Amino acid sequence: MPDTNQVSTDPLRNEAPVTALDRAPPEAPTRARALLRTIEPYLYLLPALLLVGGLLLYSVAHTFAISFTDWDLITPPRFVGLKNYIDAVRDPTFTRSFTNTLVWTGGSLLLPVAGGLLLAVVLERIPGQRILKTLIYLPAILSTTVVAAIWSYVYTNNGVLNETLRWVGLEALARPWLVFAPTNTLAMIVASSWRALGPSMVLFLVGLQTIPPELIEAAKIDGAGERILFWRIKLPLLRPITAIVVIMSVIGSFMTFDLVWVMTQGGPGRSSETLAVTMYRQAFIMWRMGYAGAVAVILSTIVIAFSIFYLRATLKRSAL
Amino acid sequence: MNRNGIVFLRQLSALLLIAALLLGGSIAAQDDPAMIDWANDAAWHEAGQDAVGEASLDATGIGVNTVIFTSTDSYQAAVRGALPTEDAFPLFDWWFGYRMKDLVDAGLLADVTDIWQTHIDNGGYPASMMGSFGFDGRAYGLPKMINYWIVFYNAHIFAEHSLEVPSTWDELMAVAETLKSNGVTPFGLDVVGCRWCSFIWFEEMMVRADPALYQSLMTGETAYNDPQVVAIMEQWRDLLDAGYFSQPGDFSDNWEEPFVNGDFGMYLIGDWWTGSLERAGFVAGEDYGVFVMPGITEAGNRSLIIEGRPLLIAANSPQLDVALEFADYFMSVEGQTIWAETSEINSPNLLAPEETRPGHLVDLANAVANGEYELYTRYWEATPPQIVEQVVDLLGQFVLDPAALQTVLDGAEQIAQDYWASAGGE
Repeated sequence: MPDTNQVSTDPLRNEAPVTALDRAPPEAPTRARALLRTIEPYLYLLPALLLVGGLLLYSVAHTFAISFTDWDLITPPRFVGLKNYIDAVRDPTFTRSFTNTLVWTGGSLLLPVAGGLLLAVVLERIPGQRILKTLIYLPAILSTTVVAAIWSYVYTNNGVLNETLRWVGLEALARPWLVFAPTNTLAMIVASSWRALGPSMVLFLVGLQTIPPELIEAAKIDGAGERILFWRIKLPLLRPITAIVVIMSVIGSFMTFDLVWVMTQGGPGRSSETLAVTMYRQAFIMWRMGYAGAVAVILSTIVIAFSIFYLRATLKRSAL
Repeated sequence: MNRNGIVFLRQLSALLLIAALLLGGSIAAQDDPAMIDWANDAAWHEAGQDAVGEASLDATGIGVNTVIFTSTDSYQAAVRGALPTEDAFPLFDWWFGYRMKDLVDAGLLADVTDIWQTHIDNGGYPASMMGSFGFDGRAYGLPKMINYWIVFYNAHIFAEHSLEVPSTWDELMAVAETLKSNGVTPFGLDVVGCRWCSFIWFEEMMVRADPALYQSLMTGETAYNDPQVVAIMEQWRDLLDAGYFSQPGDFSDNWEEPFVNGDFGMYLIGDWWTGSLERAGFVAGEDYGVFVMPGITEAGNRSLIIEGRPLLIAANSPQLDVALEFADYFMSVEGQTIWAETSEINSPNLLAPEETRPGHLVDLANAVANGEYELYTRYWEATPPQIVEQVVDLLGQFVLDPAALQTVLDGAEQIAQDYWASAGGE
């Protein structure tokens, strides 16, 4: 009697081996197989989902829960309702941090995004672009701490910047860059942009390479100059890349922490604090975990809301 | 051999194996010394802790595993998170004064008053020191580091301008004026690269002028905008206005280089700065000297700011008894001698050999032991951190803009009032 479990291994048959399952009565196994096929992709995703669920979703839920409590890590959390949110909104330092964060967002859109786009368009067409691109990208391989340390020295009273200004006769512009607001925040945005410019330039360069050359050619034949080519052809076609760069910049600017922490610790006098620094200070210096949780929830809500609205608007326009 | 015989042999082998494991385990347990974790966030303490651990192992059978955290913030979070549980580090470094008060109030620290008393009675420690490591007459921390806040002066700069170490406030001001008129900034002060440094001159001016007022300010009995406090702060403001301090942003969190270069003549800081200067190649007695800042008033002449890094013991640790036994050894002359020799940290134990501490600090330690100074806890730990953490930012604003004095003091008082009036205030 032939073994029904045996797998056909006929090398001449150019199809999947036939198993006992294939020879079974059609109805039930087909359903089982269909079910298996349906859930199979999810099984592959399961480890990643568990990881994300465990590490991210749990943390988000936990942060949300503690934002309604008073908790210092050593005594049990005490439910206080919306007190932390009310305290945050009434706290002038929170308002200042929020304003500084908005300045960071504006600066990040202006320098890395607009600057990256400008560089990509310019570098696309000039000789020696490979060396220039490498040089501009180079700071991106440095850690934020290194960038912060370098720029701290640049910005000291006798640092590179002030000495250079004095050397070229612009002594009036020399100043303690990290001391007074809003100069300190603007100075740190420049330092951050120095590092962020390269990656956004590369993304825009990739985007420019995906534009079909026929479109450019056709526009040129129709008499379009460089300006019209940029505004009417390249920029609209770069919209998906622009969306990515803008989203990344905005999220990055809302999360700005490490550079500020190393360069000024949010000071002097909390004048350069961002929301992320406020959150950290409240959590790990003041031990107000609930208040820090409330700041984290507010921060995340703003970032998520912005991302949804911006992506919807951008993708809708792209679809049109 | 039949099947039953094989089964019997297997069972016998398994029994023998289990017995061997149990026996081996119990023998190992008997030989295994008590090892306890000792956590801190100061990597440069590692060699000293390991050395004390080895010595303790030989002397008492208790060794330590040093656990170093590279970030102070993550260290504090890890320790605080574990303290209410049995996973708490049995031994850990912390900050003294009010920085450990919430741990004491929550009942998370072991009472070490008896250990202190034994070593005070032996003549190892001045009795006044214990007060900085506890509350209401009970001690909850042991002195791992004791530092006094003194003025470091650049000896070359002093010699160049024929200056002597000042012994009165007027002499100090004369030194400052001479340096200023010769183009040398008298005092270094950084509130940009160093956020907390704003309290250094605040506390010093207070204890030099009116130490009792400083004490009552720390406990909330005096207001930050009290006229007496304002008057003292106005004196500091006058010094700032006179240009006696380095300008904000002059240096970036690196105080040794400008001091060694002679950019400023004097620097008020904890005596732990000695190690940094030595590493920068600056030698005590040759390149630099130290002095206690003279008092603005007679009462202020006897003041000395003390900073302590306590070794704490977790009350919830299952190894509590072993940790207390180790702590007793650590406080002893033997433990402190090894600690001082291997850690480059001055031992506060007065019986430890003098050669274990830098020569220029011996006289100061002896003077403290002889009761020549009244010790006042550093501002960072002398009042609740909920107040300190906000007031240092305000004081930083004051250094940058001395004209904002009244606004700063009013703001500080509001913060203090909010704290003392809250449920956490006492």
